[in-house]
Amino acid sequence: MASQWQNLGASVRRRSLLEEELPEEEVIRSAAGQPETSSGALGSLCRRFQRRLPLRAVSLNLRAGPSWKRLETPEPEKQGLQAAARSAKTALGAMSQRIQESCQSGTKWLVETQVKARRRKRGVQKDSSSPPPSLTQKNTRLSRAASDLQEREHHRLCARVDPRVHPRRRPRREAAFQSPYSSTEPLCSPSESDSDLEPVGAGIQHLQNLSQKLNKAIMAEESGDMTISLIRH
Amino acid sequence: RDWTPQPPPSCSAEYDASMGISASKAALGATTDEPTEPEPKHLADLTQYINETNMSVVHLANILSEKTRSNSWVVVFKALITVHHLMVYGKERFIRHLASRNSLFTLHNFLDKSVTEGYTMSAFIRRYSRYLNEKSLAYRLIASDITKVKRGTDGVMRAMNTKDLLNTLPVIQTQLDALLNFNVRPDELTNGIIHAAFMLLFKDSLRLFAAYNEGILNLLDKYFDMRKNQCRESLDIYIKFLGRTTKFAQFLKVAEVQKSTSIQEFSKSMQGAGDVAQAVVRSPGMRAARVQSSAPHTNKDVVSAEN
Repeated sequence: MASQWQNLGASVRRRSLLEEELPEEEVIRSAAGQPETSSGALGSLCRRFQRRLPLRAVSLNLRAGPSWKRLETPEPEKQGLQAAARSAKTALGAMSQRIQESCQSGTKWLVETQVKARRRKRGVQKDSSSPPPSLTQKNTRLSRAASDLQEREHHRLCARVDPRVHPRRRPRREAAFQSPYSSTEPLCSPSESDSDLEPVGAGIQHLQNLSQKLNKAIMAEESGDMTISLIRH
Repeated sequence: RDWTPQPPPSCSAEYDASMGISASKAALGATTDEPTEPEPKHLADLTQYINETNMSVVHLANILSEKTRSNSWVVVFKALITVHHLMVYGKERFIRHLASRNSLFTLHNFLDKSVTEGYTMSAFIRRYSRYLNEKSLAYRLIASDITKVKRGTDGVMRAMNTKDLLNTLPVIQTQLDALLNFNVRPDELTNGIIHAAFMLLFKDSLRLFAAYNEGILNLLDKYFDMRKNQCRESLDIYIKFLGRTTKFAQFLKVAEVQKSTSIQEFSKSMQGAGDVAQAVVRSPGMRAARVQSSAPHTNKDVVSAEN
């Protein structure tokens, strides 16, 4: 009984794909008449098993849709499409590399351990307050997220690398996906890398410091305005 | 001149007309062709008219808008300064009215060839009018004057949710770009008129960048709770923030150098400008900007051509 309904559902779905413009009533009518044809199909299947005929390979008739074979071995006239797909892949790779680089350089100062941040802070200004506890979690989460993103991008794009890609681009791309510490091409000069690697806490602290300075400047400027208006009146 | 509201007479048109005439006299007085900055007493009268009465600002705005159609750079520049002064010191009803207009200033082609300094000053007029248009448009887009919102840890930009933050920060970026595009050097502040415009721009820049900075702090705080597409947007906003930080530091240097103010009390705000400039230079934005000096899209956004 359950298999009958399953067959009914499958055949209804098949019909709706083939006859998309069928009005709703016709679809309902055809669905109502299904139990008879499904029992007929079931019966023929049973008979088949009884005869014990050898199984034979079913030829896939994929005339309507795209052929997988065609994609793998392109015909000469389809090479334009293949070239476009290749250029799209390289553009995706270049864009991904750019995003990686900007993420790495922008977040380089974020991916530091909290221990280093505390060590540096001892040598920095006295009036800087200690970072909130949530920043430790954010530090580790961000470094984990960054390394996960790098790994995922590396696996995804390695799987799609076309052997016909320019030989120079592949090593550069692969180097970009490796850890920045093991890359032969450093993203920045060694003298700058140490000074630019600041932890999240110190970076946000700087912005907060800037915010305080701005507020002080605004208050000073407003007090200047008040003095002027008092002088005039 | 008494601005205290009188009980409405039987004929309100006459009453409105009389108030309009008084305000228009002050507006005309502030926008003469005398090559000096607008008279402080006229600006004070206009500010008082806006802040202490409920009289319509339409007629006042019409007078000032008419003045910007003059051929003389002096009159046009003084009219723009008067409008900016009322936007800054007047209640929000004035900027709200300007934001409701279909178009504000159409000075993108202005050029006064009648005098030598007309060429230079005309360039600044074009940039200044563009900033005032952007300021008015920003008010229309976010329904508030970002330079007047509450700041601090419990301020508007720190408490904003992610969706509003991602909508508001690009508006602030555009307004700040137009402000920084005024791009004046200290040796170009050669007369009282451009100096008055610069002081108003400096005042706006501090508040605008303060709100911008607080928005970025909020953005960084919320980054780890965002969806993927929001993270991409945030990263783009942050990269642009780095570029704007560089330009803002240069603007503050001009303000620091420009110490020839007539009133000594402004030197306090200039000292503040120096402190802010140092803090900006030390910020991670500036360091990252040095590392990312080859980032093409940040330079494209910041260095925009005139007009």
